[in-house]
Amino acid sequence: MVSTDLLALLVPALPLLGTLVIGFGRKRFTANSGGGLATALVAGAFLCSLLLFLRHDGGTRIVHLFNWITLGDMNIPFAFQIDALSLWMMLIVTGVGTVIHAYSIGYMHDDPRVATFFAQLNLFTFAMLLLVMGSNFLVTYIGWEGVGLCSYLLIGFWYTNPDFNYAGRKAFVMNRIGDMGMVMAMVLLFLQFGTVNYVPVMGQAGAMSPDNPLIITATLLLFLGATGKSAQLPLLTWLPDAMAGPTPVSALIHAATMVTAGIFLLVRSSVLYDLAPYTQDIVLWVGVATALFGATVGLFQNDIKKVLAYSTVSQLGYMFAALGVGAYSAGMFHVTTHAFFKALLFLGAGSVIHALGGEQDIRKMGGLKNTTKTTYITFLVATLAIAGIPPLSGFFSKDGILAHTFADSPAAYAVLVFAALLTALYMFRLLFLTFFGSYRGTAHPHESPKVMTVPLVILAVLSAVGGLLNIPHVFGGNEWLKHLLATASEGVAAEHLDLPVSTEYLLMASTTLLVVLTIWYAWTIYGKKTTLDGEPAGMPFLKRLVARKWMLDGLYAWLVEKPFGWLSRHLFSFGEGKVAVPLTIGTGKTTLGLGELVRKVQSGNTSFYLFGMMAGVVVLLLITLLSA
Amino acid sequence: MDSLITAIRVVPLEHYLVLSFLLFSIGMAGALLRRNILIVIMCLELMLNSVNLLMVAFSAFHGDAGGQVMVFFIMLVAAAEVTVGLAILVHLKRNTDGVDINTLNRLKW
Amino acid sequence: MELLALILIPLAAASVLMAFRPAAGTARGLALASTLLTFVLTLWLWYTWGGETVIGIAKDWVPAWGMRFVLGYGGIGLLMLLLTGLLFPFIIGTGYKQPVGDAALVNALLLFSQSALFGVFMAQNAFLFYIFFELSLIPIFFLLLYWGGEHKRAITIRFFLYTLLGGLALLFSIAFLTLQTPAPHSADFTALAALDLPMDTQLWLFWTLFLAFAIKMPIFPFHSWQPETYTMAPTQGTMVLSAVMGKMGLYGIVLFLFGIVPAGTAHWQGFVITLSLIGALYAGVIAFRQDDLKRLVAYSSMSHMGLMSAALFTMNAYGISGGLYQALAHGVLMVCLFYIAGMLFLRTGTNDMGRMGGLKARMPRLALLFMLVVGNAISMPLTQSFPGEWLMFNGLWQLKPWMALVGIPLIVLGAVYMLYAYQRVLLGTPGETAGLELHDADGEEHFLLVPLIAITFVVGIFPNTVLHLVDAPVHQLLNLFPPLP
Repeated sequence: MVSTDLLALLVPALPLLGTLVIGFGRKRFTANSGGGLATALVAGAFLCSLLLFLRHDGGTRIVHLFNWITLGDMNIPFAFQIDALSLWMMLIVTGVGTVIHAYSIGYMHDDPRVATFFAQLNLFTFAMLLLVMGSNFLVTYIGWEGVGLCSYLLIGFWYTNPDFNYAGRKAFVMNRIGDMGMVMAMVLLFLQFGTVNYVPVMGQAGAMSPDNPLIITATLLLFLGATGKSAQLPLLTWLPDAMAGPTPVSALIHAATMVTAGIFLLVRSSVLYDLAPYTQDIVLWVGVATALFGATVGLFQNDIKKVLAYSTVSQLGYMFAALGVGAYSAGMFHVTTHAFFKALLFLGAGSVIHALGGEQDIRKMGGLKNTTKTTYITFLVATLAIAGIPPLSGFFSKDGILAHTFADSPAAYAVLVFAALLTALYMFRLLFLTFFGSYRGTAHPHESPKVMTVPLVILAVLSAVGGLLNIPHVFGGNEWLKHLLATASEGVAAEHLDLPVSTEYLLMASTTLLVVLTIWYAWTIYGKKTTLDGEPAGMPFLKRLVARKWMLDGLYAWLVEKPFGWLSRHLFSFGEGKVAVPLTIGTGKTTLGLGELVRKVQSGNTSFYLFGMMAGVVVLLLITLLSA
Repeated sequence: MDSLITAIRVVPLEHYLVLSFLLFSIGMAGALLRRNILIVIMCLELMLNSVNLLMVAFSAFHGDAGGQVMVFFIMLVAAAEVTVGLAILVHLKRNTDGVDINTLNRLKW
Repeated sequence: MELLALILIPLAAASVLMAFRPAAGTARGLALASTLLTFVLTLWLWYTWGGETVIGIAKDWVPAWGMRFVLGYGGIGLLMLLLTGLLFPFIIGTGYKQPVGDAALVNALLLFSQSALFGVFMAQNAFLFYIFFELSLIPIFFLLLYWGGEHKRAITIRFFLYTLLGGLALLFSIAFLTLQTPAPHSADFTALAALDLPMDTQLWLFWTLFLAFAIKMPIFPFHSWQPETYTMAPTQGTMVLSAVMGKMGLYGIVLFLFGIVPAGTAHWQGFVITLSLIGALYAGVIAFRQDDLKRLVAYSSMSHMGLMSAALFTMNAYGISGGLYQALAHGVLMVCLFYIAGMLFLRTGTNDMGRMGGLKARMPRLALLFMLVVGNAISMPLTQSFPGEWLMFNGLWQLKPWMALVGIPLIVLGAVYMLYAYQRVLLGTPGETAGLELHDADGEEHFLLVPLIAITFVVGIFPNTVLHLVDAPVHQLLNLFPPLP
C-alpha cells in the first residue's frame, strides 16, 4: 500500500525524471525509446493521479515537502494541496498529456531532435502539475513560470526559423506582462494575510466584507495574470503566433492545459472573486469580448492551426465569462470538455498536416475524408462537439455557461450565443474545406500511422461522452462534477442557478436550432467548393478589419514595440551618450581647463610673485579695515 | 629694563609708526622694483626690521613683553632666511654670471 | 586566526607568484589551490557560525586617530565572505580556458584583490575598511590597464578617478565621524554606531557616505564608468568588478548608512529608492538594444543592482534580506554570464551579437548551459534569483505599494532583453560567424559552469541556507532605525 503522500510526490516526480533521463541521454534516445519512456512516465503519473482520485474522500490534504522560503515571520512551504480541484486538473493534465505524448511519437518520428522534444514536453508536464498541485500561490507560480518557459522553448523548437523564435519570445513576454499582476497580487495577499497558502488565505478573506478595495485590487491583479496565461484580451495575440510550435505542443500546451491555468487560478481563488462583484463584471465582459473576438477572427483564417488557435481564444473567453457570473463549475466543466475536443482537433489537424507533408493552408486541402478516414471521423466528432450539438460533450458544457450567463446578464448571453453561431460557422468552414469537395493540393495524402490515430479515437470517445460528467438537473442528471468540485472550492459550493425549467429548455432548443441552421448555411457556402478565392482584398471595411485580426497586432507594434525600440535606442544614445558619459568626461575637462587658466599665473617671474603677494596682503588689509 | 622702556616712551608712538611705515615702504618698493637679488634681500631685511621696530615700540607702550620676544624670533628667522637667500645668490652668480632676479624664472618647468 | 588566514593566504600566494613568476600552469594551479583553501575556510566559518558577531583579532594600530586593526564578522559579513570565497575559485578557473596576458601576474593581481576584499568584509574599524576598500581597487586597475580592450587607458583612468572620488568622500566622512566620538577617538564600527548624531549632520553625512557606495555598485546616475569598464575589461576583471566589488557598495550601505546615520537614511529613503528604480528601469530598457553581449550583461547587472539598492533602502526586514540575499545570487549569475560571453568570444572572436546567430546548431551543449543561466537571469522560480526578487518586491510594497508597482516591469524587461540576446546569439539563421570552426562547450568549461548552475538551483530550492545568515542581523539592524512616522 503506497502512502498518499508518496503518490502525490510521484505525480510530478515521474515527468521530471523523464526530463532528466531523456534530456541528458538525448543522443541515445530515438523517437520510439525516448517517446515511449516519456509516454510511460506521464501514463504513470496519470495512474498515480487516478489512484489518488479513487482514494480521495472529499477532503483537502496538504502534502508538506519542505519549507521553501523562511525568513522571520515569512514561511512559504513547498507543499501540494490534494483536493478535488487539483485532482481533477491532474487527471486532465496527465490523461490528455499521455495521449498527446503517445501521438507525438508518430508525429515527431523523423525529427532529429526528437529526444529533446520529449524532454521538454515532460518538463512541461512537470511544471503544469506543480501549477495545479501547489498548496500556495508561490508553488503555483513555480509551475506558472515553468509552463511559460516550456511554452517558449517548444514554440521555438525549430529554432532556425526567426519567426518561430519571435513567436516564442512574444508568448513569454506577454505572459510576463500578465505575471506582473500575479506577482503583485501574491505580494499584496501575503502582506495582508501573512501567508500565501490557499487554505488560510481563503479562510481569512472569506471573513472580510465584500467590495473591500484590497480584495478588488488583488482580484484584478490576479486576473491580469490570468489574461496573460489564458490569452484573453488584451494579452491574446501571442496564442495564434504560438502555433509555430509542433502540433502536439499546440494541442497540449496551447489548447488543453496551459492556457486553462488562468481559469484554474480564478477557481482556486473563487472566494476572493465572490467578494468582488466589480472584478467579476470585468472578468465577464473581458471573457465575452474575447469569445467574440476569437470567433470573428477565426472566420477569416486560412491556416488550419490558426483557425483552431482563434477558436481556443474564443472558447477560453467562454470559460472566463462563466467565471465572471460565478459559475465556476461550468467553467471547469468547459475546461474539461474543451481539453478533450480541442486536443482532438489539434491532433486531427496534425494528422492532416502529416498526411499532406507539412501543408497547413486549408485552401490547398479538400476531399480528405476518403483518404484519411479515421482522422475525418474523429475530427467530425470534435467539430460537432465544439459546435454544441447534443448529446456531445460541448453541448452540455457550453449550455451550462450560457444558462448561467442568461440568468446573470442577458446582454452577455446574447453576445455569447452569437459567438456560438460563429463558432459553428468557422468550424464547419474548416471541416468542409479540409475534408469535403475535391483535393486542391499537390501532395499525396495518406492516413497517419496507428500511434497517431489511436489517440484520436480515444479523444473522440471522450469528446463524445464527456458530457456525462456533469449532466444538468433538467435532464435528470445530478451534476457530478459540480458536486465533486464543491468539496474543494467554496465558490463552486455557493453556485446556484435559478431559472425556470421551461426557460432552460427553451434556451437550449433555440440555441441548438440556430446552430443547426448555421451548419446548413456553412454547407451551402463551403460544402461543395472545389476552388477558393484568393486574399479577401475587395471586402468591405468591417470584414477587412476582422480578417486582419482587428488590427491588434499592428496596434501593439505601433503602441508598444516600436516606441520601446525607439526608447531603448534613444535612451542609450541620449542618456548615456549625451548626459551620463559627458557628465563624467565634462568634469574631467573642466578640471583640465581650470588648470590651463591658472597655470598662466605661474610665470616664474619672482618679482611678479612678490607683487602678487603684496597685492594680496593689501587686499586682505583692506577687507579687514572695511569690514571692521 | 624699566629705564629702557621709559627711554622708548620719550618719543611719541606716532613717530615710531610713521618711521616704520616709511622703512617698510622703502623696503617693499625696493623688493618689488629692483632686479638685483642682493638689493632685494636687503630690502626684505629692511621690511622685517621696520616691523621689529614697531613691535618693540608697541611692546614698550603696552607694557607687554610678548612683542619683544617676537622680535627675537623674527631676527632668528631673518638670519636663517638670509643664509638660504645668500646661498641661492652665490649659486646663481656661479651659474649665470649675474644676480638678476628674473633669471630665476628658468627654474620653472 | 582563520580571519587573518583569509587575508594572508591569497596575499602569500600572490607574493609567491609575483616573486617567482612560475610558468602558466603552475601559476594557475597555485592560485586555484589558494582560492579553494580560502573557500574551504569561509565554509568552515559558515559551519561554525553561531549567530552572533565574531571578533577574531583586535589590535591597536594608530590609537591617536582611532585606527585599530579589528577583524570580525556577523551574518551579513559572513554572507559576503562566502560570496568572495565561493566565486574566486571560479574566477581563477576562468583563466584556464580564457587566458589573458602573463598568467603569473594576472593571477597575482586577482589574488591581491581577493585578499583586500576579504579585508573589506571583515574590517570592524572604519579606517581599516577604507584602506581595504581602496586597496582592492589597485590590482584591478593594473589588470584593466594592461589587459583591457579598446581605449583601455582612457576608460581605466576614468574608472579609477571616479571610484577614487567616492573613496575620498568616504575618507572624509570617516575622519569627521571619528572626531565626533568621545576621546580617546575610535573609528570602530561599534563606536561609530553608538554616536547619536544630530539630524542636520546626518542629512549631509548621508550623501558623502552614499556617494562612495553609489559609485561602487553602481547605481544611476553614478554609473557612467560601469558599462564601458565592464565591456573593455578582461573577463576575469569584469567578474571581480561585477560579482564581488559591486557588493562592497551594498555591504557599505548596510554598514555605514544603516548603522551610523539611520535617521539621515530614513529621511532620504524615498529619494534614493526612486533614483534606484529609475536607474533599474533605465538600464533594463537600454540593455535591449545593445549589440555587444558584454555591454548587455553590464546593463543587466546595473538593472539588478538598482533593484537591490531600492530594496535595501526600504529599511524593512523583507527588503534588506532580499537585497542581501540577491547580492549572492547576482554574484553567481554575473560569473556565469560573463563566462559564457567569454566562451562565445573565444569561439567567434567577437562580442557583437549582430555577427552571431544560429550557433545552437553547432553548439547545442553551450546553448543548454546558456539557457539555464538565462533562466536564472530572468528569475524563474526554483532558481536562486527568485526568492530574492520575491522578498524585494514584498519589501517595496510594504513600504509604499507604488514603489513595487514601479519596479515590477523589471521582470518583463529582464525577459525582453535576455531572451532577445539568447535568440540573437544562438537561434535563427546562421550569422557570419557560424561558418567558423566552432567546437561545443568542452569538459573544462562544463567543469566550471555546471557547479555554478548547480548552486543556482540548490540555492533556489533551498534559499533558507542563505537566508538564515541574514535573518537575525537584519532584525538587529531594524532596531536601529527610527520608528516609522
